This record gives sequence, structure tokens and C-alpha cells, in this order.
Amino acid sequence: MRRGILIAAFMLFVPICTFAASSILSEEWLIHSEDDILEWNTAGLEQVEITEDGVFFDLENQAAFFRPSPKGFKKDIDAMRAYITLPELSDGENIDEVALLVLTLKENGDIGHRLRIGLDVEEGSTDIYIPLAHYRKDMGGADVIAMSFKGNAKNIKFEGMKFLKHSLGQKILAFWRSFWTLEPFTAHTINILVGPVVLTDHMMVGEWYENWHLNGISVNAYILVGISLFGISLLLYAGAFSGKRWLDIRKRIIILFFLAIASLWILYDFRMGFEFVRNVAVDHVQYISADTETRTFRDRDRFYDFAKFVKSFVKDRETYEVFLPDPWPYFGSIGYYTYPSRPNPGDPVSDTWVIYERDDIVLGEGDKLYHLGEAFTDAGEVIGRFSDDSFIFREISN
Amino acid sequence: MHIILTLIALAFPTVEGYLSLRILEGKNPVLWNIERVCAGFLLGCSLSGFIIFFAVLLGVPLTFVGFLWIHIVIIAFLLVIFIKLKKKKKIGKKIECDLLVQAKNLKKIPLWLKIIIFWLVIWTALKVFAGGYDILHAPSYWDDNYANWNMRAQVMYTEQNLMLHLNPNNPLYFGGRAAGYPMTAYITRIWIAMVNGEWSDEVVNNVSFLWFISFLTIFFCSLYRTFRRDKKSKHALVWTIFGVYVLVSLPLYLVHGTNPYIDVFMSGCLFMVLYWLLEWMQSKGNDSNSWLNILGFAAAMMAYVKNEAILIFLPPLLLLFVAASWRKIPTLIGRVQSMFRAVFPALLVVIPWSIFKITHGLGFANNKSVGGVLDFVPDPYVPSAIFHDLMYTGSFSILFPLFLLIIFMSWNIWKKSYIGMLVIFLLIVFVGEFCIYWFTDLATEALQHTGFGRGMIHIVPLIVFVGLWLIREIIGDKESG
Repeated sequence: MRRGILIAAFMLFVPICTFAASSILSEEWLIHSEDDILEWNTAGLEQVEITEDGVFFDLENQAAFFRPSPKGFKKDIDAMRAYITLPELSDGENIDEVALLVLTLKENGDIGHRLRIGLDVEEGSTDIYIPLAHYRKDMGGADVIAMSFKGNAKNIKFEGMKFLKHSLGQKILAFWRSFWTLEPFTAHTINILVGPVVLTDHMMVGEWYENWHLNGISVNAYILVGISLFGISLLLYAGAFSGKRWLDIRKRIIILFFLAIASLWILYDFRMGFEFVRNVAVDHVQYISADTETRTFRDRDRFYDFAKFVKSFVKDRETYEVFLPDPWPYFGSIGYYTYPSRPNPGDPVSDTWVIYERDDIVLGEGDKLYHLGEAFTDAGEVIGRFSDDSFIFREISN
Repeated sequence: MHIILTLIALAFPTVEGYLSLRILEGKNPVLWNIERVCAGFLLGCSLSGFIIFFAVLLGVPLTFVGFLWIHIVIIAFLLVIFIKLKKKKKIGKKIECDLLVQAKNLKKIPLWLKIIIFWLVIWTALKVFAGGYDILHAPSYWDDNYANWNMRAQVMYTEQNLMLHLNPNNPLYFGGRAAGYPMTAYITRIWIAMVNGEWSDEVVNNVSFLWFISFLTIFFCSLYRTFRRDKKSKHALVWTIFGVYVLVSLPLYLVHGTNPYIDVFMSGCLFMVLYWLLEWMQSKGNDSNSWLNILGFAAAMMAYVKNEAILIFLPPLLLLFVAASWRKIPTLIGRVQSMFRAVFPALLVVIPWSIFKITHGLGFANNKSVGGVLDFVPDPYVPSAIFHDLMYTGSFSILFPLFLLIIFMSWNIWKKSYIGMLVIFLLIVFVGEFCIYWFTDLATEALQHTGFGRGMIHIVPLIVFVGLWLIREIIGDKESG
């Protein structure tokens, strides 16, 4: 009996894995011949050449490929892939924008609503994934979709699009993985914690999390709806089906209701508490117990060791000049660590320059510091080097 | 070594707070000893911060010796009063918590509940001590941590001066940044650094964690006192443990408790004032005087922790107190006397501090001038931003919608009970804060999800306390035992 269950479980495991692993190709609009391009409307294309690999064209200001959206586009399609190859740009060439347009037409054929999804396309051949499910609420009627190009360049290739439906397994997997995608300690953690969010597109979990998690649906919403439905169900049961007086079962119903909430609360706390403990563990591994020569702290890299390094070099100066990756948070923070020496927020007055993670600031001809080829200090010397792009420079007084 | 020296430094305000409470409790001590030590620590930091600040303003040097002398004088003064009162038999014997007796009831609960309670205790302890480990070793990462709390204190510590001689436009005037904030957190940090003989993150940051665990102890004692009051209840300890667990499980509260901020400290003071007010309302006989005295002291000390205390918490508290004394005390003279004892200490703090701020052109609200805050500039996006923060983020789990549900479900319970006062207070404060962010130029702090969330930190212990109390009443655990 036990063996039979194991065999059955194993046999189920294989199709379940397959079910969970693949997206279903709903429709494919690839351009490999003249016949294929007839399905499209185009605008602004110059020097068009149709090959087995796709359409090659030159772009002058603006060009676009249009086509009525596939059946069930708004309701059923979860994602799409676009195949575009951008050439290496020569002088004078530029590509300002590549975007997917989702258009809704009025009865007279004019455009009534337009959703523009800008695409991050790099030089070379690219397969761009577009998570349509997340734009669904902004799509309008979605009668026509278009691939739009802006700029000036030669020999751009557009090969077409594929439309994908994600399987239920993939959606469940995405739900689970996004729930457990943890937020690191960042500067905003002291004000707000995003908390668990749910994404139904597995491609957007993980490395895409940073960009996409704010577009997900908060787990709180599911919990609140769940609690409401559960509460209503209990009331219905108590009122219509239990056959008992409300006063007789009131206490049991209410206890059940609050026990359900307590269970969800404990689960939620486990997720958030795990995030907190994990972040402390990351601090321990990356900073607290790490080698002081290489350790880093959260998103500030080696700043804190650098700030302590700087202090001994500037302690005899009331102010010093700084070049930092960003004014916030580094300017205030380095001022705290080097006090009573303070970074100068105004025009340069000090002979001491503190450079942190700025590889565009270099020591050049005449022993001066240069930025974009221009010297901006008097001659001097590096009095303390923390790393290749982080150091302290002091002008030599005449 | 730093930890030992920090504990030695903090022993001074703790003794001051402890003695103050003991004296104010008089013949009828109402706090348990561990509770008084923790409350003494929180309130003592504020008390010493207030006295030291004005002593320095009057010419006492801002040095280790100067601070030490002030501490010695405060402790000596309180000790003399304590001994005199003791000789006159006006100091009663300490009362001990009967936790161990009640703990026996834990044996009677079902196994599944024991396992859950065990898990909640272990998990809570793990989170709290992980945070403690982090605060002990991490640099000053958060913006207000380095730019406000630490920087101002460091400037005064390094310069041995309040920096009031500078031009008000100088960024270091009165230490810089949030110059209008009360001095409790800064004076405490300065004193810790003085005792340690150096300024560093490792030395000054961990006081916030000590405030946090002290408050958790106070919160535990308060819940336990409340839930064990009904002798029939066998589950008082279970409810208490669950209450502390719930508070620590609020993600943003945990983050604040284990980082060098002061909002958890503020929440602790506010909780003490409101909870002690509740106890006063329910108490009879001589206990009543003790609760009244310490609640007045706590309200006064709270006023010197953050600006929100004077602007947002004290006005509704005063209204509540007037209503409570009207209900509790039959005679007009009695009411006036109780008002005097509860309100006068707060005036002793609020008046001199306000005069100082007005004469030095310092703001009363969250780092902004009063004039700026009173500008009526409603922002239509604030309600949805606040709604999103409270409903759809991880900051407070599902606390706010759940609390709303509970107060709807228990309308008939709280409107007849003393706890209704706390519900009304919470509603007034919440609506008040909501309007402040909606209608003034503080809107950006709600839209950028900064100040508003931190403001909610102050009231969440009260929400947890009231929420649990009401749930217990709704399900009728009290009667069933």
C-alpha cells in the first residue's frame, strides 16, 4: 500500500513539474517572408529589406509596426516577447526610444487611448520580455498593438513577437517565490516596509524584484479579503445552516474567527521576522564578522571604513572638499564621522580633497586633480589612498 | 567594556527615575519592582535630560565633571526625600509580581497551545536579540540617526557647549538639524559618551535598544496586571505573552526598537501615561493617589522626549483627564486637587521648555516652525498615501484594519468601560495626525512615506493593548476562565 502511494506520487511528480515549468505559446507573429509582413501595417520605414531573419530597416525620426491585437489579448495573454536587433551606432546615429504601444480605437478609427510601454533595448540581438499582466488595468480596449521606434539609425532588425500564457503552476510558483522574496535593509526601511507582495509572473520574481515588487499586489489585500470572506461564511453558517441559536454558538464562531486571524498573523510575522533576521545575518556576514579590509555595509559599499580612514587625514583642517557618488547620504554622513572637520558645501576653500568612489576624478599632469580633462586643483599629492577611486589629496602650498 | 561603562552611565538616570517613582508612589506602591526599574530608566533619562539641560543653560559646564555633579545632586536630593519619608513611614513596602504563581497555570493549558507559546517566545527573543546584536555593531546608517540624534549630541559633546552662541542661521546653531527637539535623547547620548571617554557609534547607539527592552518589560507587566485582575482567568500569562509577541511582531516597531531612533522611547512614555491613567480610573483607596502621582510625573517626562508630546498627545490627554476626574471624583475640590497633581508636573516641564524655545526662535513641530505647520495647504494625495501605508504595506502587518474591525465589533463593550477612554484617545490622535499631514505642509512626509509611519510607532503599543483587551472581552475568556 505504502509503495503504491510512493509510485503514484512519483508518477504525478513528473507531469506536475512539466505543468509548472513551461509557458504556453498562445500566438506567434514572426516575420520571415514577404507574406508575413503583409499581416502588418507599417509607418515611417526606410530602406526596408525582408529576409528569413526578419525585417531590416533604416530609422529616420520615427517608425512603427502595427497590427490588430490577437484574440483574447487583454484577458488571456500574460506576457509577450519581442525580437529586435539594434545595430552598433555610428557617429550621428541615435535611438531615443523603442516602445510597445497598446492602442484603443474610437468608433471612427481614431486613437482613443494609448498605453506606451518603454522597452530597455541594448545594442545587438535582444529578446525582450514584456510582463503584460502588470499593465492589464491600464490597457483600455487594446484593439491594436504596435512596436514603435524613435531616433536615427540604419539597419535595425525587427523579427516579430510571441504571445505567452503562463500555466497555473507557473503562477503558483511566482506567487510563492514573490511572497518569499525578501527586502534588504535600505534607507527607507526605517520609514516603511513594503512587506510581502504577490506577483503572478514568474519572470518578474528574483532579479526583477527590485524593479517590479512595487507593482505587485500586497499580501495584505489577500489576507483582508480572505478574513472578510471567512467572517461572512461563518456568519452565514451560524445564521442559516447551523440550526442553533446565535447566542449558543456565538462564542465558538468568534473564537474560530479570531483563531484564523491569529494563524494568519503568525504566518505573516514568520515572513517578516525571517526578513529581519536574514538582514541581520547579512550584516553579520558582510560587515560585522568580515575582514575590515574588504567588508561592505548594505548599499553603502565600503563607505563607513572610508569615513573612518578619512578622519585622521582631515583632523587638522576645519573643512575639506569632497567628491562623492551622491550628495545624499554621503555628505551628511561623512560630516558626522569626521567632525569637527566638516565637508565644505560651498565654493572650494580648503587645500584637502576627499574623493570617494569617483573614478572620473584622476591625478594627472602637474600633480593636479582632473575631472573630464580639466584640472580643478593646484598641484599636490595623494596623502592617503583607500582604493583606486577613493583617496585624499592635499594641495602643496606655494 | 563599552557595554559595562554604558550600563554604569545609565544607572544614574535609572536610579533617579526609580527613586522619583518610589517617592511618588508613597505609602502604596503600585508598580512591581522590575517594572519600576524599567520605567525609572525611561523616565529618569528624561528627568536628568531636563535638569541637566537647564543646569548647563545656567552655567554648569558641559563636561563629564559637570554632568556627574548634577547627577549626584539629583540622586542625593531624591535620596534625602526618600529617607525622610521612609522615617515618617510614608514609603510603603515594595510589592512583588506573582508571575511564578501564575506560571503554574501554564501547565494546565493544552499541549498545542504550549507548543505555540513556546514558539512565540523563542521567535520573539530571537528577533529582539538579533536586532540588539545589529545595533551594537552596525554604523550609523539611517538618516536621522547620523544627521540628527548623533550629530547634534556629538557637536555638543565635542565642543562642550550647547552652541547657542552661534548665529541662528549657522547650521550648527544649538547642535544643528532638528534644533527644536527636546534634549532627552541628546543629553543621554552625551552622558554615555562622557562616561566611556569617547564618541563612537558602538558607544552611543545601543541606548535605543535598552529603551526598547525596558519598554517591553513595562508592557509585559502592564498586560499581566490587567489580565490577571480577574482572578478566574487562568490564561492571564498566555494573553500577556501573546501581547508582547504581537508588539514585537509589528515589523516597523521591531526595526525602530533595534535601531538608534527615539520613537519607541516616545511610545513607551505615552503608553505609561495612558495605562497609568487607566489604572487610576479603576483604582480605589490609597492606590488611587499613587497612580495619579506617577501618571503626572510620566506625562511631564513625556513632554520632554519628542515635540509630538506637547503638540499632539498632551492636549487630548488633558481633555481625557478632565473627563475621567469628573467621572471618578464626586467633589469639585477633589477634582481640582487631582487635576493639579496630574497637570502641574507637566507644566513645570512645558512652560520653561516652551519659553526657551520661543526666546531662541526654535520650532515646535517636527523640525518645522509653528508658522509653517499652521499654513493650510491640503494635499489631495495624502489620504490615499496614508491608506496605502496602513493597509497594504508590511510596516504594521494588518494591525490597523484589524483594530478598526475590533472597535466596531466591541462598540457595546468599550463605550461602557474605562478602556473606552483609550479608544477615544487613539481616535483623536489618529484623526489629529491624519489632518495634520493632510492639511499642512507636512504632507510630503506622508506622501514620501517618512514621518507618518514613524508617528504611528508612538501609538501602536496602545493599539495592541486595547485591541487584545477588547478581543478578550469579545470572546469572553474572562468569564469562562
